Amino acid sequence: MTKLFNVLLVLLLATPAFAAESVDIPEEELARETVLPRFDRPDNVRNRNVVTEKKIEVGLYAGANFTEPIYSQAKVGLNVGYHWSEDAALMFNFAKWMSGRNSQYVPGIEQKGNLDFNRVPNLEYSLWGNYELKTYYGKISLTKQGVMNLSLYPIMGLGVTKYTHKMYPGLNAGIGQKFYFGKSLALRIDFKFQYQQGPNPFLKGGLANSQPAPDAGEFEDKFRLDNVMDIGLSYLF
Amino acid sequence: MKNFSRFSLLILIALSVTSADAQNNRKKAKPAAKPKAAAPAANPMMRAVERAQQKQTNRAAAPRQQSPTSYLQQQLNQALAQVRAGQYQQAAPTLYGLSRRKELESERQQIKYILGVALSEMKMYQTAAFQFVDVIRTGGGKYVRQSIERLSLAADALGDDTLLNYAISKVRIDEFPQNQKDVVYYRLGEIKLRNGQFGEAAELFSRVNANSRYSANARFNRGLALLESNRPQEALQLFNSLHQSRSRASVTDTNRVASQMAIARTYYQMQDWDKAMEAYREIPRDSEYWHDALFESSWAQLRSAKFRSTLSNLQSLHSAYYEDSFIPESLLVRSIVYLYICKFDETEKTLNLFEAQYGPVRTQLSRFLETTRDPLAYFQEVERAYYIRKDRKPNQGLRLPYMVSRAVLDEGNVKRAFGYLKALNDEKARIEALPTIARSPLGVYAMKVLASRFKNSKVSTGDLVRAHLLNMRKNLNDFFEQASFVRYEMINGKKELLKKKIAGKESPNAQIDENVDRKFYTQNGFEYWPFDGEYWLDEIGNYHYLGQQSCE
Repeated sequence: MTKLFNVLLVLLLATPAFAAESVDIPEEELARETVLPRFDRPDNVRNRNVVTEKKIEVGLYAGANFTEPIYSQAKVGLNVGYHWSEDAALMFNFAKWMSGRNSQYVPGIEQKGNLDFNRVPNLEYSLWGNYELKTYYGKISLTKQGVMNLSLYPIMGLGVTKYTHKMYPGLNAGIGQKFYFGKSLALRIDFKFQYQQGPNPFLKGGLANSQPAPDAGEFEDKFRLDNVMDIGLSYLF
Repeated sequence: MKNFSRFSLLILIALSVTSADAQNNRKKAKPAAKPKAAAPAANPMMRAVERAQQKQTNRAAAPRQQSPTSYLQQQLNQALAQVRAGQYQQAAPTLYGLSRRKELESERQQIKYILGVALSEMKMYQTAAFQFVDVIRTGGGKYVRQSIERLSLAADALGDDTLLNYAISKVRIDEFPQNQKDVVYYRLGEIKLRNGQFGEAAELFSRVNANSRYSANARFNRGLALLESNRPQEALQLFNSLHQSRSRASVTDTNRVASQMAIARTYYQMQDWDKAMEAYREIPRDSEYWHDALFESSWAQLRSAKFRSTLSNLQSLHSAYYEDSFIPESLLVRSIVYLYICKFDETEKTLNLFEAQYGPVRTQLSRFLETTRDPLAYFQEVERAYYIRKDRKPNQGLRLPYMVSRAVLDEGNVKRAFGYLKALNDEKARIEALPTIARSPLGVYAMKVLASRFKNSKVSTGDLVRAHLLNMRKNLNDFFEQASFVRYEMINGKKELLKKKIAGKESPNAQIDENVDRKFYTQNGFEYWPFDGEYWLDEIGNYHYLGQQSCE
């Protein structure tokens, strides 16, 4: 082959110019197989654009509890976590719930039953610790020259929710998806089912305007299942 | 190995039939009576056991003379009966003990041969081989020919070239049984091929019977010998027929893919680039030959002036998936293609990459070669790489770059040497698993034999490794020389470009073909992904260079 280099170089010197080559990919050069090549270490991806291992992630988000009938559904929050490998991360998710009540349902119920849901203990904030299993890392091309990396990760964790009078436990599970704009910044969308305890706002007789306001402790504790979605931006450091 | 087991099965059947007769003969024999003529034995080993047993039977039947050897003869008789009954584990230690007794010197060759057979039956080929070698070295006896046969089979099972060469050097093929001639022709052909005697090699390979288990390999090697003898048309015919004969096998069947690869290489040798490229494209992606096919087809593309296709292939070969592969030549090819299409910046980048990647490799390689003399150190270095590869460990604790050791491990003779060491390890494990043998003097002897073979093989493998490393260093030096030549041409090209620029004759510096319509790529279900530095396993082999040539 060494001799061939010399031959090629001689040819090169003898041919100073080339006709313009038009880009035309012959059909036979296009992929014909769906099997993967064999390597000693058959990693799915090498030289990844988004490296998360041993990195800290910080993010801001807004979210909503879509099945919450009484309290405000909206929240804003902060994500802070650590990725100890490309496969797993631990994220802490702090949420400050918006004050007030659900404006879609509560006024109607209050008016109809002459009730006052402001007597219900207020939902203040929640803190969750979630394990994220980063099962899928991929990419998507939406423009001719643009490529965006994706990450899909199941989420599971435990947390607490603070009401006026008491802290309640809960557990959640769901799935999240990140769309990376570059190597660090990502749009993060998480969808979770939260099974958690909280005060049952429907205290018999306790909400009626005609009755004296009950103590927060009089509201019965109850487990409920909520659907929560968070959308935000996160950054890898 | 199938022949071996079939052979042992025949022995067992034949022995089980004849053993009852022999027992009866012993009981009925009278001192002066001639032994009853037995039916002709089915194979040499059975004949040997029968002869030995007959001799012992006669002695046992003779008037009791309380000779000092009578006890030993009884033992021998018992051991032979055990061999007949297939009780090799019980017989072998006794036979080993008897083979060392002076009193049985006249039977020594016979005992060693039978011991070797018993050991072979227990797949203790190395220890068995030593028995056969002893018989052959002593010479003169009637067991020499049979021992050569057996030795060649044991050496074949072990994959030990030294033993095999020894056995083959003693062989007179016409004396070999017909059913075992194939192995000798095949191995002799291999030796000739390695020694560069291609015509003789081709002739020997052609003698291997079509029904033999060596047939496919022999035909393949014959093709290689023909190629080396510059007879590509004949080789092509052979490879095509080999490929057709495997048409029903799975697409990744080693013989099928190897023959396809050989077809591609034959076309390359014939300088029929289009057919070579076509043949290379038939190599399945999930075959271990595919990487070589990718690189070799790049050469075919380059030689047919398909520069865009060449760069497409090289994009795969220079991906992070090949960071452990020693392919310096591919970077030089890339730089030459860039030079062809007047991409001088790219040429420079590629040359810089070549120097950055292989400069330290050359330094480390030279330092290792200059500071290391002990062949064992060479072996140990490559052995570490072997385990890193096998166990997918991190590339740490190596004195040589991993890519270098890995390339050496892929060399045919080093591969064979490691295969032989594995066979020795397996034999050691088998001995340790048989307490009756492991604790006997035979076990101690076998362990000594294995230890000595381990040591010698490691030394000889170390020598092989050193030879490969020296060769790699020489090639690398050549490549660096070529790289400086390419760099000179690149600077020259840049100078010419600058002159044109000053004269206002500069061509538009388009980097990629913006006019290529994305629809082209998405038609027929194909997807298009612009490359952004990330390498995906399912994209390897599917890159398409879209750059434009910059020559005027």
